[in-house]
Amino acid sequence: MKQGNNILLKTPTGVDGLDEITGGGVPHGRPTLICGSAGSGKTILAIQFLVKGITEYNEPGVFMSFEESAIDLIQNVRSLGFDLEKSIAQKQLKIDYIRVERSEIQETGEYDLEGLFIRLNHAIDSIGAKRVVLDTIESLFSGLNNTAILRSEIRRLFQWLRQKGVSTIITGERGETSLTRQGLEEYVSDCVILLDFRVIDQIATRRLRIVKYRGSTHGTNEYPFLIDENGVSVLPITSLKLTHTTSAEIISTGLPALNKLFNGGGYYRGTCTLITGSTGTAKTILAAYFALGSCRRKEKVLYFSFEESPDQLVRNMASVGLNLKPYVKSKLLLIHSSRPSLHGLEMHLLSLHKYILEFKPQTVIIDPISSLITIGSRGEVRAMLARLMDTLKMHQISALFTSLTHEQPINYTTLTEEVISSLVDTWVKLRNEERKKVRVRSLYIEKSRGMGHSSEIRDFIVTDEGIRIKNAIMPTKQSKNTSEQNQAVPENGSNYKS
Amino acid sequence: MENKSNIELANGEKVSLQLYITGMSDISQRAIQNITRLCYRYLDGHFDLEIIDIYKNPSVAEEQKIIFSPSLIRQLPLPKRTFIGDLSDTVKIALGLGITLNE
Repeated sequence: MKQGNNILLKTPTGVDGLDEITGGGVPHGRPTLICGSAGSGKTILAIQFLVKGITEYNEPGVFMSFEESAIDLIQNVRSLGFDLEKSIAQKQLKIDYIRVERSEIQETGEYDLEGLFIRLNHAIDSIGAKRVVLDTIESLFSGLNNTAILRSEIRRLFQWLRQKGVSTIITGERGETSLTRQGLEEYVSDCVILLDFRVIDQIATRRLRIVKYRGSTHGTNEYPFLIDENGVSVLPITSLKLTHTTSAEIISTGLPALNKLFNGGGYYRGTCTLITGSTGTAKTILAAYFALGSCRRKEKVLYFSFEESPDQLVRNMASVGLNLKPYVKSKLLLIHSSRPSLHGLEMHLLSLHKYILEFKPQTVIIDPISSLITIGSRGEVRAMLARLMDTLKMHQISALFTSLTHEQPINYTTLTEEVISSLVDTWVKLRNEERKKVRVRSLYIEKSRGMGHSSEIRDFIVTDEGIRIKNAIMPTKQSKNTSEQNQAVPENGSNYKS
Repeated sequence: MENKSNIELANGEKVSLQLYITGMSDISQRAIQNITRLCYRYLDGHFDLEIIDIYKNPSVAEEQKIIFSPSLIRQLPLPKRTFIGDLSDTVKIALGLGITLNE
């Protein structure tokens, strides 16, 4: 982002994801306001801006704290792996704690904030700082009566910072009607970032939004973000573009009889497959087939199980003749189980990301993805899945999601399906219906992007030796006894989509 | 003139004051005038007044935790007290310094 004269220069924050959303960082040499309610992560974000500046961009920084003493600050961020003391010793960081106690100060006439200017100037010059944080300057207001003076002085301070050419982050507490209590957003016109911390259905979610970024395009959505042992990371971690490369290679579904229903003989590598069905329709079994298929190709599989523990999954699959154990042992298959309600949606997403980046699988299975969907709102889930799929596609990972749906009329799509189905490339539907006093399982392919597929509804049974797909039973037009020659139906020609 | 001081001080103790100003600014000058007038009038012979320009001594501003200019700090007698502003509010300062005004 640092090319050309007429392009707004940006200072990378070093915060995962934030630089992507802002197209390179915060405005270079200008103030940026970060506002949010108490506990929304303002200070941590600001500290990270300084720490990353020091460690990654060799830009010293000054932290002016109006709330926490230097010692408190150092201790509080130590858990995030930020060693402030070392930076201070190396003259890369300077912390100045400014405290105004109403009871200790008497106002006796007109004054200015020149003392603060001098201290800040001195601190900046003493270490050659390029980055400055003021956290939270509004605290001054609680210590003083004459807010008119403060206002004009703070305005002057921001102008001075601009002249000084330091990239500054100013934090501000969220006000009731305005972004900050004292309306600082009026003075900082360059870039305003809003942090939000909400608890919905007892699950806490953090969000970040770029309210304003003068002279620059930026993502306008609310982005979930996380604070974990590595500091702040904003999702998306990946880019927002559809630029991933695609593969023409076809991989097995793991079940030969199912392969035959696809004209290409399987799924495309690096695509997302969705398997939906009501409870007991053998979704997990199909997922396990896919996992096994991948393992047989010596490709690593990461299996996220939200309903069963790894042992349980291995045992249950063994009961239908699918032996996952050797692959778990040889570390080709990693099963990760967690409760969906353990975290908020984004925490799940981040842990998915982390596991994916660490384990580097070629295949990822999420069983079932519907459990994640239940913990977020529709828009959130959609955004999250889109990001997840971006990551998967970027890494050329083939993915399979199962999703629990309730028994519905055949041409009915649930909300869940609606949310995911447009994002996935292949969609296999499973059913379990009553026919003449017998429950019969059946499957059909709802869609398969870029590949013709059978349009039959095929019954199948689950035996000790796995799934056996029966020959076509629906007396459809051209169905033959063997399934290889099934007529290709173009993607949009699928019959049952609403 | 008649009273040396109308503040109660222990034997030989003086009121120790530091005034932090910023160069020749108007409010700095006003603050100097106001405090010297007050001191000579009410604390004659019983005060030490130091005037410090923090433009020239920026590190002092940090050491003494100065944010506002002008700032007057009473170091002694304890407790330490801080006044900010051009010190035009004589009543408030006198009260804070323990001086009884005689007008």
